[in-house]
Amino acid sequence: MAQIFGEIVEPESRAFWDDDELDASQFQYQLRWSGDNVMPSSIKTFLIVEGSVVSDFTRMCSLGRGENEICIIEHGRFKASNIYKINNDLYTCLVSPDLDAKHSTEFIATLTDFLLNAEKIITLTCQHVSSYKSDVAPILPSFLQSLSTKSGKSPLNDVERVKQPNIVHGIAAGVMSYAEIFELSAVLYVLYVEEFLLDSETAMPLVKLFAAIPGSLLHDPVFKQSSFSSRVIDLYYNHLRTFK
Amino acid sequence: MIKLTEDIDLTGYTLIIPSVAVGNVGQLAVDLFISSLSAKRIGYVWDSAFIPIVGPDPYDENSSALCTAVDLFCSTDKRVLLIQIRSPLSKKPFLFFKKLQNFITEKHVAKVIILTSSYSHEKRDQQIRTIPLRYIASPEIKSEFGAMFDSLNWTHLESKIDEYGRSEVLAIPGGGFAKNLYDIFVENHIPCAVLLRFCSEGDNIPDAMELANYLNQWLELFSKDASGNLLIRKPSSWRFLFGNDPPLEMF
Repeated sequence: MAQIFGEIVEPESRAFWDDDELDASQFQYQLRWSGDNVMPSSIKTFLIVEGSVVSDFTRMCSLGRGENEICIIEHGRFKASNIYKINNDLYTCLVSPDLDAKHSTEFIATLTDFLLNAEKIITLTCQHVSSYKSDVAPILPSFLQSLSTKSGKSPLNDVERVKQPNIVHGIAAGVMSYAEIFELSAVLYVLYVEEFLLDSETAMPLVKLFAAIPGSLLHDPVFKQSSFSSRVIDLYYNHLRTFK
Repeated sequence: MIKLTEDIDLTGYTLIIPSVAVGNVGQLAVDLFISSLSAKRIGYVWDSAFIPIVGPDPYDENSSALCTAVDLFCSTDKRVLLIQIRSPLSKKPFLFFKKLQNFITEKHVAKVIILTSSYSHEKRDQQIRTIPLRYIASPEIKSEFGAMFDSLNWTHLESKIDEYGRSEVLAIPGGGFAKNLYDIFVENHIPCAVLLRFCSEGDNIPDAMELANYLNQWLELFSKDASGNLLIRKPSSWRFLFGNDPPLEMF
């Protein structure tokens, strides 16, 4: 909307992404190995976790029991991404929340050797349920859906497939695209959540998933009470009904 | 990288590619062609210029195939190759242009048609008074199809004076990479045309229909029913183009 009389306001377009900042230069990430670690010659399962909610869950419930940080992927002045060796069967990459989506392909190029050496790739990401398009409004406060490449097989049987026209973007989507193009075995899981704060109920789909990932070590998670939870509201309405 | 999953002889095929442009009209029009021709996915493009996305097959709810940011489709009946782009560009796609140019040359693709759109608020007086569809064509296309374009009463995109007032230029404001790609193909003697529709952001399905119909006047890709109506099928994934229905609780 014009702020002053006669001001020309160019209409925006949803088609463009930072149109004025399209950067022609090629961007490169640096892989820095910790200590004597080198690229593993074979990996049974390579888990890539993207998004604060699922990364925090992974860090809290699957890391911290003697795993080995084998390398970091530096993002300049931003927080780095980390790759951990959980055990001989499982390597986990926690993608930095500061990663710029426009450099997704370059980030995946840095992971190429890991992807090609992995027997099975699992990517995990998180989206708000408001982005979920469906005839039927979701009842659960959190739920998982999955997509697989031609050769990918989900370790969980009761997870629904992502339905059109829902799409997934970011590193998880890029890894899946790469795996589909290069005929690798990969499965993507997307956790749809009502709020970006997990509790014992909303984390349940992740608990089931981590229990099914071969080699995954799941600790007992401790959940902090959300200050504003939909279930708090439900409880409030239940009280109201009781009093009527 | 352009990877084909099937070995198909593409000699003499017509390549249709959208430019990510205002209202996504070119992309929607390509969706209409893929859906209506039941075109088959035959490959993928992996390029850092496009933000990666992945999802289920947008054209078949029962398919287990994946769609990526840039997919290749083919209709062998109509000898048409279609590239669909589903994500915005994050970088200038110079490497993609080079890969595409090499691919077209190696596969002996006959001609390229770029579908795009342009800001309707940039229309000049002479453009306001006429239908909002325009074309640009390379010399090779003009010599082969110029008479046909005249018989269809197509209007060539009007040039305008450049910002310094020195020379006349062809420009497509809001048209994405269409003009850049066209210039590269013309320079390399690849027969190429750009078809565009003036539009604004909003429900751009009617714009896409018109643009697809415009191209169909030339290539006659859509089938017709007994009454002569074009059989245009919208993809099933267009159902929620503007989000979910409003929740019943709000009424």
